[in-house]
Amino acid sequence: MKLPSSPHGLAGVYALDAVTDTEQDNFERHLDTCQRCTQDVRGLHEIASELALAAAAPPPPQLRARVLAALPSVEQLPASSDLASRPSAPVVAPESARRPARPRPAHRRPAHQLPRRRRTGGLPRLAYGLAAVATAVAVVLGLRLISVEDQLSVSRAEQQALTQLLNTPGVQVVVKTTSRGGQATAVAVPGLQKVVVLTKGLPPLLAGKVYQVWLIGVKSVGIRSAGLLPPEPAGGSTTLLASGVVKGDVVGITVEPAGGSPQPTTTPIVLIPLKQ
Amino acid sequence: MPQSSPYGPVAGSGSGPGLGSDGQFVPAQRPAKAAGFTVGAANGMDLEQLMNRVARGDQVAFEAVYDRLAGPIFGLASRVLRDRFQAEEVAQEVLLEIWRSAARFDPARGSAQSWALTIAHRRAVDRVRSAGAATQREQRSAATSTVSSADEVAEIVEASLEAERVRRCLGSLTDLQREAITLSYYGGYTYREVADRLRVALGTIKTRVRDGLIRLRDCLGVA
Repeated sequence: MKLPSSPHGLAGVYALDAVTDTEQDNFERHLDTCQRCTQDVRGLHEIASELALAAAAPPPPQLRARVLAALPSVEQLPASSDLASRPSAPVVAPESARRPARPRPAHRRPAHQLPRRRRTGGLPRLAYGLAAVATAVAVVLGLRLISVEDQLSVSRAEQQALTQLLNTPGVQVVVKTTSRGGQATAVAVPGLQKVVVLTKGLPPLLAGKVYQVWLIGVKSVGIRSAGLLPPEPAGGSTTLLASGVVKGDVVGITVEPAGGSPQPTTTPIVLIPLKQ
Repeated sequence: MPQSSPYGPVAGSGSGPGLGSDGQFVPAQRPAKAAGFTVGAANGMDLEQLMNRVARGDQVAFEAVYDRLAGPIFGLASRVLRDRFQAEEVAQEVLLEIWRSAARFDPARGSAQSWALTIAHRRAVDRVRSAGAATQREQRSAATSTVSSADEVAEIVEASLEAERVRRCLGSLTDLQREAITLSYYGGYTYREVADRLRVALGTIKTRVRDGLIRLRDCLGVA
């Protein structure tokens, strides 16, 4: 009995993507005509995804901000699979020097529900580019509205500083959720001694309390105040430019009595390490 | 305390003890995973519901999708590529592909998780098989540590519980089934390459992989 030539014999290795492109194409053509096989492969894919879950590892913290920031520049496909009529619309994102180009397989658009290997998408080099990061940060944090009057808690000088920072090669953007909710973001360039701290969604404080930003250094450097965060406008974000950043500093935010404290008196609601 | 403006640098803030030097500066407790979402509803939704929203351009829903899938996607890519840098690139591509193709996800054809992780696996395999990568892969050591900062401990624990379950079930397979599956899936090898490495016939690999997956399913209790 010679069964190995049955296309269905590939179901297992197909579900693990352990086939060549040609085999994959052939097998998917077979799937189109075989209801039972489709069912079978679906089950096998579910098992394979358990293997994926077992490999889970925390992604680098900066990935989240980068991905969210790139969303506005990625056009979503319509539900229809009428691909022929649509021109491919790759996302144009400038490449950053930080991310050297790598050889990549040519990608085409998915023609099947599951993007096929080596055909997946014109998804481009992602928005590692600085311009993209800048737009990104702005979009994520609501700074897009920066020109709107009621959002102007950002001073002109800070705006300029922020723009300058965002356009400096090597800029790093670290986003953290605070223990009180909302997000705090640090935008810094290693070696530049400056950091812009942006917050969005921090809960308003009672009268007589302020959010104070700190640069927390190693023991010999100590904790220095970077200033008080202006209150966030409703639905907006607020920023603070801190100078005098030194290597090893961590940005922290605490709740302090109005006017601020010379040294923090409460537990920080967020700590943002700077990699410089 | 004299100040020229209500906000800005505070006068008189001097140097003091460093981070953690006297216990004053203890890290804030790990923030709740979902604290960043402005629409609380996203948290209670299953992935399929979230994908439905993502397909309509809902970024908040996408954040919830990110929080559930970024770990498995990045971890899987790290496992296949054995390179954090490339894994991060692939993870970013995959997550944006999920955003882009959300409307193409068809719940009648499988779970959203399986759909997304299949995209992730295919991307990682593409990358590892692309020119040059194969030789690099051979040269790299078998184990890659993909961690970590203090923040991530809870996630690692969560992930390792799942990993332990799968490891236990993989352990219940025959050696050949287990090796064929791990080389195929985590190694990114084609079944021909697997057959070569394990010195068995092609047909044997095909059936061992399939039988092993079925056995794995029974052990894991996957639907």
